[in-house]
Amino acid sequence: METNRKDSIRIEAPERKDSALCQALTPTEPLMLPSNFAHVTLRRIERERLARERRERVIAIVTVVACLLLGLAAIGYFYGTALLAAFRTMFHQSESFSLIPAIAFCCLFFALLNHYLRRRYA
Amino acid sequence: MLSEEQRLIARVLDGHTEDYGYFLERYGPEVMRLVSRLVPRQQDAEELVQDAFVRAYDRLETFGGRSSFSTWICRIAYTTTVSWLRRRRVKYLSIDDLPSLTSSDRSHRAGAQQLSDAVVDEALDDETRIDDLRRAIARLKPDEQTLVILFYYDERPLADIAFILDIEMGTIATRLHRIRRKLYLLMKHGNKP
Repeated sequence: METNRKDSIRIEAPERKDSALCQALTPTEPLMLPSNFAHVTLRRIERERLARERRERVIAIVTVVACLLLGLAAIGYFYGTALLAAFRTMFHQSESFSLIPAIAFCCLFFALLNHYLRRRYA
Repeated sequence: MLSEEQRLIARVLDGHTEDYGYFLERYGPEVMRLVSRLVPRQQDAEELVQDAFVRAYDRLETFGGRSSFSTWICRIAYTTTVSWLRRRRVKYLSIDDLPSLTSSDRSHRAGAQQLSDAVVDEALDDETRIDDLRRAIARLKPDEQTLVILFYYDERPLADIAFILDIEMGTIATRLHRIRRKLYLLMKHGNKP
């Protein structure tokens, strides 16, 4: 009875007093980290960060390209015939077609300007 | 010191990876101490400590300061080590396996149930049997070993131990009680396989 009561008290408040147990827990040959541990780990972290960034960039490019292709395919599938007919008509009517090269040139010019300004002032 | 660490963490999250070196220098040895108890090979222990720090870096934004950085990194190191040991399929002795160590299973099981704390206390306080005790500790499961180390050797607060091992604080005393009995039984039966 006395032992049982003692047991329950011990469960509630464990003590840290066993000298043999503490000695047994003291490592005989403690392992140490090498002196360059921090340097090596930082290099690994940096390497993994770059690899992750590269992976994310590739995933982003692949996603954008896939979306574009999907969009073009959808346009082609739903409006392909109508678009072809419209293009054919446009090529045959040279007056309407004469605007296209000018618009294309303007678009290219603005795209190049945008690229230049971004690189210089971003 | 804690606010200083919070400031450093904010800087690391801001892209100053080199500031993470402070945590590696300061807490590396402590994590190594914990890991090397479960994985005694230098090379494996080193790799696991590094894995733990890299994982901690990846999850640094989730560190809310609810515990100290030391406790947080120890928890990550502990889970990393346990997963590694599980992958290696290291076999540990369960307390249920212990009765099979004796010829008379039934009487032994009854004896284990009635084992008095005084006998266990005496055995664990006997300085002439430290080698037996060391061997017995090595045969405990990783969570049991870690609990004993954190409680008796590192003398960590119960709240920290509960956080590191991801257990309820109220169960620590019961677990320790069971582990002490297991250690006694392992010592008594000469650490036989």
